[in-house]
Amino acid sequence: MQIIMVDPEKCTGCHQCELWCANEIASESKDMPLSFTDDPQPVPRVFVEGKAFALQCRHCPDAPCIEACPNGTMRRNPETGMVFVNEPTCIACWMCVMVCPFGVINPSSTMKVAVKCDRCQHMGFPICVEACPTDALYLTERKESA
Amino acid sequence: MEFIQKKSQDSAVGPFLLKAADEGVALVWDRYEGQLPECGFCEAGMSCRDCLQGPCISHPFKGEINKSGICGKDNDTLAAHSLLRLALKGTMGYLDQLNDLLEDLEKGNIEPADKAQTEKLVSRARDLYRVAGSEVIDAFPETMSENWRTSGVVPQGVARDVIKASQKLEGGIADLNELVLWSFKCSLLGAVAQRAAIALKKAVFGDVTPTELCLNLGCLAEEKPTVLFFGNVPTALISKVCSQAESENIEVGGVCTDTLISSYKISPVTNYGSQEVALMTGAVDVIVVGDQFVNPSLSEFAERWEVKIIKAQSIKGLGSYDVEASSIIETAKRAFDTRSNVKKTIPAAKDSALMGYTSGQIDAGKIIKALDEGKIKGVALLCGSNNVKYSQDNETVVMAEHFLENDILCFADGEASITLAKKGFLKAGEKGVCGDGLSGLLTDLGDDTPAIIDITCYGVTDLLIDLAGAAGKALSEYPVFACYPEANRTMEVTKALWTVAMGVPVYFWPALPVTGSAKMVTALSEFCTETFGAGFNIIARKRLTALVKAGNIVQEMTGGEKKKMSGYEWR
Amino acid sequence: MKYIIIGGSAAAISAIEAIRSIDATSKIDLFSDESTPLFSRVLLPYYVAEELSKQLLNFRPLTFFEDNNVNAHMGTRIVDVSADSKTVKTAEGVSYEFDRLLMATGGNAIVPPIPGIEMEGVSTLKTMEDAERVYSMKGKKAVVIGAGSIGVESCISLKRRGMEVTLIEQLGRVLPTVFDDEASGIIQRRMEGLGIRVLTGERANKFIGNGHVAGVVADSGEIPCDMVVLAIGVKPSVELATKAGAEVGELGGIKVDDRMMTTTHNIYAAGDVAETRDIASGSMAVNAIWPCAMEQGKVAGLNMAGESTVYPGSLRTNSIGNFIGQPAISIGMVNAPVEVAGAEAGESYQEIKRRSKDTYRKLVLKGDRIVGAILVGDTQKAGIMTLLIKKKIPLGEFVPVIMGSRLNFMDILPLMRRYGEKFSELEFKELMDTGI
Repeated sequence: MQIIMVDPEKCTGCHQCELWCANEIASESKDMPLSFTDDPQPVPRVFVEGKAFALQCRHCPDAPCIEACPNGTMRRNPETGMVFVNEPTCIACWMCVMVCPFGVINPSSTMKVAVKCDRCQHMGFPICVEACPTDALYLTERKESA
Repeated sequence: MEFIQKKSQDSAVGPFLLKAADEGVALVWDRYEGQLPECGFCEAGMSCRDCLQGPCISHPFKGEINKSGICGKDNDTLAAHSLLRLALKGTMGYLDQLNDLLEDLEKGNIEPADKAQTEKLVSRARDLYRVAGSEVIDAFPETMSENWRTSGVVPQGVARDVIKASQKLEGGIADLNELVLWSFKCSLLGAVAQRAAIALKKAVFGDVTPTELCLNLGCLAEEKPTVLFFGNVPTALISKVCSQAESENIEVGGVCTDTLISSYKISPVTNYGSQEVALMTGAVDVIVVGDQFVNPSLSEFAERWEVKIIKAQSIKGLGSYDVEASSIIETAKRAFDTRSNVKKTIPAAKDSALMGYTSGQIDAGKIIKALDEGKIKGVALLCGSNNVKYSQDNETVVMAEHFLENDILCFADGEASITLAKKGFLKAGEKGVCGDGLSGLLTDLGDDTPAIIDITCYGVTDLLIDLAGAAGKALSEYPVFACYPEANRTMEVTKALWTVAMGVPVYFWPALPVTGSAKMVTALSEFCTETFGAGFNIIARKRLTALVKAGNIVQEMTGGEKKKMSGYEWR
Repeated sequence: MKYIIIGGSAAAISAIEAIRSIDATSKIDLFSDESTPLFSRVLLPYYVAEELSKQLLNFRPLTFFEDNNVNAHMGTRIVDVSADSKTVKTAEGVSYEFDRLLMATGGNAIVPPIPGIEMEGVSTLKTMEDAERVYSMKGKKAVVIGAGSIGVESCISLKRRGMEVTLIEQLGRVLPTVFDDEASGIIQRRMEGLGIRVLTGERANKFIGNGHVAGVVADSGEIPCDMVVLAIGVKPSVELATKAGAEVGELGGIKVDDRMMTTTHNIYAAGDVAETRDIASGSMAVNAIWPCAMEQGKVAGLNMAGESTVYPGSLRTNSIGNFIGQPAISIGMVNAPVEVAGAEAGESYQEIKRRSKDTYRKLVLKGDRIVGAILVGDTQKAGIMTLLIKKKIPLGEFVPVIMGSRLNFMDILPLMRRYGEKFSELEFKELMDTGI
């Protein structure tokens, strides 16, 4: 399974990944800077906080968020192994937020659902990796353990 | 990231793109792709590096704590400051050009054609450096200067219009409208400086009349030493080189520089976007370079194609220019000999254009009458240069064509003129796609009048003053507008701002870096319309084609309502 | 291998998934006294509020049993379990054999002995039948008794449906076992802001009415109403366990070891019915919440199928989501006790609080580790707290970081590295799998 990794030597903390993530995935217009004033406000799924390091959902093989979700909204794509939020059934109970050890699920009060990186499942390639100006973000095959 | 778009509409340029790719040489287009994606914050004007606590951004998608700079500049202020920085640099460009001229006169480097007039103009121009005299403003019609007095943007000289304006970036508490006005105040000084420079050039070098010019790369000469001037090289120097060039059998051309000095012709061999290609022809022996509009990448091309670079001015220089015209000529001759084995590939593309209209050669009264009678639907000033974000020349040409078809009289300024000339819009007497009403007016203005009239030597400011004078009322009451389809340099931003201050609305692409603030975008149209009678239109939507833009403009300026085109509304 | 599972909610389904991850072929029979399969009880208040249709209450697709090769006997009550003969017997008298049995029978809603409770218009809210009953009640004025999670959510649901709502709680604050006074206060004010009348420290003493309820007599007086929802709590359903000879713990749940097996061999228990060791307090507890049931079901299932897995203990976590307009999360032991049985000698408790206009954060520390946390308003990083509590990570100098509003994973990564041995190899690898 392809996972997004960050090279900490290259990440400058420029926040471009957050900007493009919200713009591409969460906005209607997808046209910067028009999306800046979209309503509801687009929510980025990658976090650049504290250190210069872009952190997003790790799609854990043993995902606590899937276990915590009371109605099966948080699910795994059987082909790609990616964990995603099935938005139509999300009731915004935030139980997934409560258990994610990375703290990368966004309890969005504007979008009324749990917002989380889904590795751009409907696109060919994750937008944050494409937008990163220093190539700090990259895709790699996750080494499966036995 | 990739950016898929045809790089240039100029057929002369195409083969050189392939050549550059083969030789592994990077052109502007390659460097642009290497820069992608460009910072979304900076593009929207939402960043600031004015102090050392930053760099700061205003993050549109996170909480309140990320929305203002550390010192407290909110996103509206950040946008207003992004604009002010551009206006300041642009105005300084115009002041610099005027200053070079003044220095030449002071040092006696040049003998003015009209001594008395020159002296008068020089003393008036010197005033701009401290407090501009009232004669400077009196030249403008009351309909314009009244607005400036009321809002406080009357240009008063460098001390207030540039230095004081610059301090607004350093801090302070100002409301958004006032910050916007500072950009206009600064730009109006640029207008005054450009007017003064044009008037001085006329007094010093003599009148310019509409002249047939050869342009595009095909004008380069294989068999003669060739000197190209790039950017704002002091006019006095160019004129001296030109005076010696004919007798010494030297070819003189230019890119982004003067095209006509009195009777001297400096063929524009290409325009801003393809300036590197000019050197790739191999036919250029010497380039004399100024600053604004000159790509630093030229040094790489000069090395590759063994072109000698002469800088017009350096830091230890002696005055407005450091080199003697004669030494430029000598260098060119020598270089021509040593470069004899460099391959020369001169494309066939060669166009002719009638350029150099000035005040007095166009009857403003006839234009106003044609507007009043409905013979023409509007007047457009096409300005700007090239921007790598668009297919070179495409936006300007497509929009101009649409305006002409719709009976809108078009004037072209500077680089935009060259762009249109390359496509034959400035051919003497040829009306091309002009609508009937427009064709009639053009013939009426003169048999030779091309479809589009070049006003580089006239100046946008003077043209607007003449039109307002003939109209006897505010220009904002007429469908007169300026359009910058492919804008680039700060001097273009300044010019656009002063055009708005004169009561003429501006359509400007790419959108100014103020789009991150909805209030700023609104202020630039609504507040400006209230203050000057015209607005600066910021259209942030990126995926509009040139034809859609042109259609919208025509609809807005002549049709009365903002129309939805292709399902997209203007924003 | 024959597996039988009694119960059809979180623990049962999780156990099935765990068993099937190892054993794809053995027979699994599931018996549930609910006729509606695979619905989430946590979501019943949303159904009552008309915000979720019945289909959206499912937490697995309806083909789950078929996909996992499970023989599901819905609407079938098990009335007897024999450990000796290793059989269960249904209410219809049919017997089934098992090699491994899982009792995931959950809890029964407590019905207090209040006079008048048998009148019409009074209902608990535990089963689908309850939900449908409450849903179709034609009342205009509702009284909810009990301010636990179900009680509070019921109030809001009914309010959303346009009713006048009064909440009666015996203890001194809403959500008394979940939040502390401060957080409960914030939530109560929110509820009152929505127009719900909240009476704390009061008991419901009597229901009055003629066949159909018309009022509740509380300590402060009579409250007219035409419907009542009882949300007093649940008691683990241990009848079958007793029949099977499995011991019941002091707190009323079935006693299990750290592999989820009861005191009777080959009989396991998981979910709301089981009594487990609470990670935060170190004592036994019945942590009747959804994530615990899922975890316990999984561990029970793995052990039943032969893969020995240790259950680290349960951690109570509650979340009030967007329902109330302000998120609130509570984890572990949120009120530092005066004294607690089983606590290690020499470790003192400490409460650290930070209150601002819209947010409230509290940590309860025991010695150097977090045993409880409350986050109101600023909940996005709650998962980091859960991790620190679960793994019992000593905080050292990181307390200000964790209390701060800029808390993020990268800032506490050094802390996790320092205590890497507290994670299993797989867990640690997952945590570090970011690129560092």
